[in-house]
Amino acid sequence: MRSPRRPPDLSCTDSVLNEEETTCRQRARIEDYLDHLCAPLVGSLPYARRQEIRREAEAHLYASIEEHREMGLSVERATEAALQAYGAPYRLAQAILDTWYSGAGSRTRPALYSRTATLRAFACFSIPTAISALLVESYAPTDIGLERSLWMGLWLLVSPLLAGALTGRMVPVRSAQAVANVMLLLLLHGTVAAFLMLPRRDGFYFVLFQLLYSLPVGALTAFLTQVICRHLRRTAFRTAYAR
Amino acid sequence: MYDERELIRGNTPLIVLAVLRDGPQHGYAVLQEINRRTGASLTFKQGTLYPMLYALEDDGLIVGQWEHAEGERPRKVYRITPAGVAELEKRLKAWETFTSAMQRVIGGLPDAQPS
Repeated sequence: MRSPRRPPDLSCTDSVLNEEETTCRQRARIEDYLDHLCAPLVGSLPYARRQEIRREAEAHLYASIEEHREMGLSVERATEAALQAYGAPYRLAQAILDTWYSGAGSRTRPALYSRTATLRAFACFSIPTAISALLVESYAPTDIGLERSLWMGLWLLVSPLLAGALTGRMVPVRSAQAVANVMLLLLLHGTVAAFLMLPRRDGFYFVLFQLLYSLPVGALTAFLTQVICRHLRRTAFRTAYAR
Repeated sequence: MYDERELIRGNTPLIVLAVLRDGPQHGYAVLQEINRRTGASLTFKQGTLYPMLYALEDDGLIVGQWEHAEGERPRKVYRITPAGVAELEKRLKAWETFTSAMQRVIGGLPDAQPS
């Protein structure tokens, strides 16, 4: 996990700062704020759109600072007042993401995101599922001993948790939905494979296991990881700017 | 519990469209105009205006265009579209019906005659 970013040092080392230094610190503070605003949008909004949002927020903040300066505040105080009036960046980023995925304007946008999220979830789930299927196919009919059975059982139980956590980390919004999409696809594939394995029923037991365990556990883990990642981002920002 | 922000949030599109009906504005100017008209009685975080502007833009109710003035930072200026004007009229009508009904409920106006 990344450690929280440290805010730019705004403390005055000299009693009097010249105008250039103050402007430089103000610039650093605003850039840092804009970084926090745009970071949660990475992976969801295209680069050009993020840049546009950043430029617009920047223009707004400088206009607001100007207004606060006209009211007699120092550059640093005006900057802080403008940032506070603008709002917490992680909350605004979430509002922008919600708008982006609400599908109000573009019908293709949520579909495009859903495709990308499903592909990421597929990357996380397909390999563990393939390994599990191979293990079941290779070892289920034979007596593999207690130790191997335990390892196999452990793998079957843990792999959806790992894949779900990885998906939650890679898919910032609607990760559980992406997992469900992928698992349904894999279940379909598993069912066909189970028919091919007949008269052995191990394939069907495996599909049932995936349906009753891997799908809900994977989706829940992905959702929880997504929530935790978001919470960590917020906490990191709050910690960095706690006064 | 009563939360004024919820009331504002629900009506932000109406507020923004009403301001833009009177002329193109950039985001900061929209906020200043809202503050001027309301005496700064509607308080909300300034940044929350932008997701709303993006949603209205996505819906085709407003259009944004970057303008580069000499010696100034580039700004995105928003204009209301004909669809936006139609939406504003619809929302205004709904708002008037709602406020009139609320006035009757809380006792400000006489009861409506049954149709």
